Amino acid sequence: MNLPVQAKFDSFGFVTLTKGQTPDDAITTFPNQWKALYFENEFYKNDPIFLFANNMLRRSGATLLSPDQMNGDLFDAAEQFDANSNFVSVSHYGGNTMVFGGVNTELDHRTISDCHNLCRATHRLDLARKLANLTNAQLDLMDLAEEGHPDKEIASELGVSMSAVAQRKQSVCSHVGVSSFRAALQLYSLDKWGGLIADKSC
Amino acid sequence: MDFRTSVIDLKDTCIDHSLYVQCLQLRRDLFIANMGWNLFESMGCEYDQYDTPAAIHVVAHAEGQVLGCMRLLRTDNDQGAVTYMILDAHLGRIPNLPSGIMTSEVRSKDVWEASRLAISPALPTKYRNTLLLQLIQRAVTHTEQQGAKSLLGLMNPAFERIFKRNGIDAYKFGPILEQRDGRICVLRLDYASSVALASI
Repeated sequence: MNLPVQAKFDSFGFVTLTKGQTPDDAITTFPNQWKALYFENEFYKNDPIFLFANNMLRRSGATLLSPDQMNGDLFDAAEQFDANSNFVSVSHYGGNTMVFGGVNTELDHRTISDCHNLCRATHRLDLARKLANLTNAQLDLMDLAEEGHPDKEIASELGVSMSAVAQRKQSVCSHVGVSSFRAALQLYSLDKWGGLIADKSC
Repeated sequence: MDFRTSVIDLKDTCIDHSLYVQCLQLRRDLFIANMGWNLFESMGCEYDQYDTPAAIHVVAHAEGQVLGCMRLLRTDNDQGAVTYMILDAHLGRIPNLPSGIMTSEVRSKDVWEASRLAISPALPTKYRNTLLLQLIQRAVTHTEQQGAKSLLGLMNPAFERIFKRNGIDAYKFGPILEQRDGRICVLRLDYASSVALASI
């Protein structure tokens, strides 16, 4: 997958979690072998990346790890899987969280905000790509919602009940991994119009 | 929202220069400032090797403000090493775009390409589909008068379904490619089999 962060890091990976999901059940770009080893050795208990993510609560942010934080069994093991990091970014979007780790030894505290913004863009892009697998019925719903039609009109246009519209909205959210339909709709617009609208927020 | 469409043909002696300049400015805002493409920019405008008198520009505007635009070029255009954008990309001649994007090479007076489609952030989200369809319809009307039968466009594949839902016979004319800015593919619109276009 071609991602906005690609050119900035020697190696990187991320984990995305939907609301209520635990890290061992999360979707990750890291190799499965590393994931298995990570939980087998209970590295998560002292992982400075997840400690930072937890301390951020529901806020997005980024930091650089200190040499002391990168010293230990966890980072020695991670290096073998290209899973070590000196940069951490946490991004929240519509109830979905992405925890990103990457290696760029030239970063300092003045330059991490640019990388953090790229990580946030990567998070939205990663979620938006799940929209490619929506059914035509779900996509019709998205188009009508995007055009600003209220649920009653959407139900009438699609020839379904109001509860079916609500179910489709829920199903779209589950599919994308967000907890709010508004967030799913924003992602849909971002994906659809991203290359056509002269506005970063789309 | 009340907007209308106009055609800008640089060969006409009395074009609306303000609309044309706004198109180039909108393209600069989108492709350079927003998407970060490495394109030529001068005087707040974006323009390239395809912006010649052979190109036609379709503009959607309201109260003198451009809300959307696209550029049309016949696919038998030949300026030596330059043909039309989609074919030149297909042949690997454009650094910003992937190659191998078309099912087959098209060079025909019957087929036009639409490129540099741009929409203003001033347009509320709910009117975007309508504006895009009006731009397409105006492009079809104009090119059909010149003998065109089909239109090619490089865009998000999501629009195939939106065009079909609105009675336009659109289909993929190449692979879907993952780009840094999202998915793209060449869509082909055939006029004769499009219910919505038959009534134009």
